[in-house]
Amino acid sequence: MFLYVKNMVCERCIMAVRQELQRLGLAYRHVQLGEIELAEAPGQDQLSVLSNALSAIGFELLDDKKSRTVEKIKTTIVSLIHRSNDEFNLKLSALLEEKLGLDYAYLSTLFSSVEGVTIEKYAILQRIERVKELLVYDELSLGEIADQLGYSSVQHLSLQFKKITGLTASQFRNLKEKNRIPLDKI
Amino acid sequence: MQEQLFYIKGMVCERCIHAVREAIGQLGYTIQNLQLGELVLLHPSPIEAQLLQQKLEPLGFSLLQSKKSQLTRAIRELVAEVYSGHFDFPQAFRFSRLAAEKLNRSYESISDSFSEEAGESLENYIIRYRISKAKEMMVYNRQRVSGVAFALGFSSTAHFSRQFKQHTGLTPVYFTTIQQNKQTAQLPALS
Repeated sequence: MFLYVKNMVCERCIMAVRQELQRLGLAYRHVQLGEIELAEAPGQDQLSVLSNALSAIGFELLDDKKSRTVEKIKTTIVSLIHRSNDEFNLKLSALLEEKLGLDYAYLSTLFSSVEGVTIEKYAILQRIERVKELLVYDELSLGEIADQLGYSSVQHLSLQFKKITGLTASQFRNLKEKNRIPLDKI
Repeated sequence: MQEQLFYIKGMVCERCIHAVREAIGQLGYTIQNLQLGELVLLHPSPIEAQLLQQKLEPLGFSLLQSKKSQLTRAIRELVAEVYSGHFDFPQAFRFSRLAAEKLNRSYESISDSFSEEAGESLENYIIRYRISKAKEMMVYNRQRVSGVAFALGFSSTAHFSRQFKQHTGLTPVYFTTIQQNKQTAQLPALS
């Protein structure tokens, strides 16, 4: 039995969900971003207890199909940008079509109508957040960051960064308060 | 109590903050401030980064070392290597040139970065290091002043003596004499 969870973005989110499942004595097959597979179907009251437990740590159980699809789009983008070190070689639209088995035009309209931003814009925001994270680490140069995140050039990255944050990358680097945003709040 | 700042790699959301808070809580430190990527702890004595690293690693985090602190460590290592007393000084040796070559940056940026991180100038650090090394060699290895001056790359015994006097107020020869007196004075007390 699959359950769909909103707001999961990283390894710690997965750990936190596992912890809750164990605490409530619910056996699971596996947990991944946005998804729990339970060993057996839970009762109605078990489900509501789990739902409350998850809300307490900032997650949400999703039941309708549309929000599941939207969440799946988000976790696909988050995984692509924050959790893999592969080069970006596939177009985002093609990747989403492949992962979700749905037409991109449909996905795009659905996402915009639920979230109020387009998929492209959402992906840009996630990418900029990743750039901010990498800038804070001060391990890679801006050029290397641009490469890693699939920007065609440093200029492109700089422009986009400035447009979204209002700061240049080096201004951001010198900020005392970095104001990074939790990924699930983007 | 002193505030100690650590940078953590891999934090991206509220659950990450929660996980770090829990792990640090188990170590018994007081958290002054915790946000994505940054942890400020309040503790009377300096906290071992190693300890935090061990606690954070299973959660998928790691502690960040700034480029500056990595560079500072590399510089200190280089100073220790050059002024170990066993370094073969080439003709017209300059530490600045060697450092720029080894660390692949201009000496200016190396020394700027060092003084910002260490709170003293690199020149000053090197002199202090050489003087204390000289003392060590004279006391423990009973080396002669001229030998020490040579092993630590001073251009002449006179130059070494002058610098030694400038920093300790004593001449090297006088320093060895009082050290020896101290040691012989202690001997009867031991037996």
